[in-house]
Amino acid sequence: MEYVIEVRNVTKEYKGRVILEGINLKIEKGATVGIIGANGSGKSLLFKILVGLVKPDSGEVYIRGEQLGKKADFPDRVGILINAPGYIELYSGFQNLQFLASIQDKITDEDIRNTMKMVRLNPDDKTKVKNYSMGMKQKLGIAQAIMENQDIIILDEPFNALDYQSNREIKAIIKKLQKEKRTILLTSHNFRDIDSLCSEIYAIEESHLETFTEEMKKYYLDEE
Amino acid sequence: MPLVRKNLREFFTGKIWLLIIVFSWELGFTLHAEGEFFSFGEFLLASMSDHYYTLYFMLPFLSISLYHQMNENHDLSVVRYKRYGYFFLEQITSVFLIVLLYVLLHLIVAAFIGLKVEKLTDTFYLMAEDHEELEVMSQYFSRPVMALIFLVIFLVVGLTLYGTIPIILEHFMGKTMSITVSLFLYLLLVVDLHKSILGMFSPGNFILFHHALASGIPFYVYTFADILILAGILWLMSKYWWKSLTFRRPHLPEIFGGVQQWYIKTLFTIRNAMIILVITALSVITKIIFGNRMTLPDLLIHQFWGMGSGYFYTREFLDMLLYNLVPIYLLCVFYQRAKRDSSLSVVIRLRRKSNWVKEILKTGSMFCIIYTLVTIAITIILGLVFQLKPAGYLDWKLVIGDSNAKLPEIVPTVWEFFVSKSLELIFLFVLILLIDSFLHNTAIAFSLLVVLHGISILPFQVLKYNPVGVAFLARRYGTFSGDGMKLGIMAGILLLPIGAGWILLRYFRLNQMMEEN
Repeated sequence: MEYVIEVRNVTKEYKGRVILEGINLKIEKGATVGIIGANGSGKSLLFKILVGLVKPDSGEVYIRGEQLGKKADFPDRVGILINAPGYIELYSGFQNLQFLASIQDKITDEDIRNTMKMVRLNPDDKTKVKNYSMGMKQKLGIAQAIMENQDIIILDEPFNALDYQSNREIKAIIKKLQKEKRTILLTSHNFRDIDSLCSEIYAIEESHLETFTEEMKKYYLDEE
Repeated sequence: MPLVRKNLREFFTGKIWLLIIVFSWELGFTLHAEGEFFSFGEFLLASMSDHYYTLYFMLPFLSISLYHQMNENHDLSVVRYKRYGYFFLEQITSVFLIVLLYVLLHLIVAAFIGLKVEKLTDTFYLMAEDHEELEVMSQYFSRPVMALIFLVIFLVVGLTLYGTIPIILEHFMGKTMSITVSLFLYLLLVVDLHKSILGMFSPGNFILFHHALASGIPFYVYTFADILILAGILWLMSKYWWKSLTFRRPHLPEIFGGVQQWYIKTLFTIRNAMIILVITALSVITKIIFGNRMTLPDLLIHQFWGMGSGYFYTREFLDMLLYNLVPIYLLCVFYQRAKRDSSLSVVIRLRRKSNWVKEILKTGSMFCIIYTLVTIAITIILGLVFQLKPAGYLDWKLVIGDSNAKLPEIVPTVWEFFVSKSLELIFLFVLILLIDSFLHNTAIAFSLLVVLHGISILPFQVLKYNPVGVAFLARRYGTFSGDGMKLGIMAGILLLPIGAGWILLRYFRLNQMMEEN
């Protein structure tokens, strides 16, 4: 079995409070994994640990078999969308993606255009990002997370504050990425979003990562 | 280096014109006053080593712009680098190149304006008065342009370090601590420049070339120190970028119970304390640095002098506004929040609406008393730090001259000021509550209070009894010639409206107070 992400016994405290404790997780290539949990349960923190933005107090993270923090601080070909990403507000969407792409210089402007079209953003739109709607910002976030052909994509609350139409569009994009056999990690407040997209679901409960049970499913569906 | 390109583009936007305008205006002024005395080289040197401009404009402009720009959320960029160190190296390179262009821009502006000097030569004439920096530099360099080359290198390295410090402070310590420490360092820089406290370690020696030359230490030692510190910062960031230094506030014992404890926590915050400390310290330091020679009693009188009535002096008026309106502004913010949060559930637990007002007034009054106490303490401490003589008068003796007015005994004066000022601030707070109960708008209430401060400047004798600003020593002592006011009258002027205000609030405006906009 090939695991592209492996988390071994990760623990993280923040301001004297244990947020994550003894987290173990193995994700196969091409899987879509959903993580569910209350506000402040540590979902975003776990994602930040997976991409190297936060170091765990103990435990290890392996991306494609390589331990994070050894050869590199940040893994290669991992796309992220965590919290509100920091865009250059005075640039257009295309200019923002152009800037991010120029850091690794792996793709052309044409690739950026194609990715923007894929997430239904107009690459020729000169609107500055500061004037983007929430949905447009989320789509731009997804575009930067996939444009360099990243095969692991980590999306923290991609459906947050979206209207019905944008929610459907983003779901369609994620389904397309699934067909391309990319590995996807997702969080959402809404259990139905996760349920409709993910092959595996976990829940963070009292600092621990638990496999999602039928009982939990019933609870979340009742809550919603 | 895409990040460097982006950073340069972001820094050199429209706001840079503001800088050019201020610098050109300042140079134009120098040219007009002293243009005939300078050679072209000397003019460039004098322009680039003006420590007032460097300290009060060039450095803050650079630091604030860099701080905002570099501390944005960079997660999306960072993960595209292999190592955090590579990312940070690009950030430091950006700071260096921004500073280099920033300094060169100043040089170009100075060169352009300097073309109007009479002697277009590269010679030290040393004819301009009050330009010791030129004299210092002429001892080390035969021609101004040589000095200028070293000055530019020195300034660029120094400013790169100063621009980097707030960025790493924010990274490791978070926003509040970063701003606090940076402000403290800046204050230290300003203070030390006027009253040398740190000697050869004076922070100014790391930016101002002529100060480094005059320090007795070879100037390149400072440049090497800057470079070493920058290298240390780079190493630290590459190795420990993921660490954070957080300070947990000690848990204070809960002296007050219930809702008052909650209100005290809302009002007595670190942020409010910092605002009061920084503003008071700046006000005191400015008086020490820019005033005449003075003793500690001189300083205390200056600090609490405020403004009398029937005349207008800008400095005195601003002093009065600053002293009174800082706590009142903080109280307005507090009150607005308390009102917003005063849901029915809070009032029900307090049993009566009047209890809610009582708690608000108690907390606000405590704040007024502590504010007055703190400002007195800061003035005394800073006076001692600046080694002012603890007794006697120098400056006020000059002010009074040969008049028959007596200088006040300082201890009773400060005590009286403390009592009357606490009362005055409490009165102002009651006034805010009253106005707000009619207008339901704390911002307007605050604006009205500003206007009430201005009333005293009108030429009517009776306005000296205006309770707004009555506690300032200017009213207490008049002009030292007998038209002042007795403490008893002052206390009466304040206690009566406080009592009346309380009765109005308690019995007539209670329901309106709790109404939302």
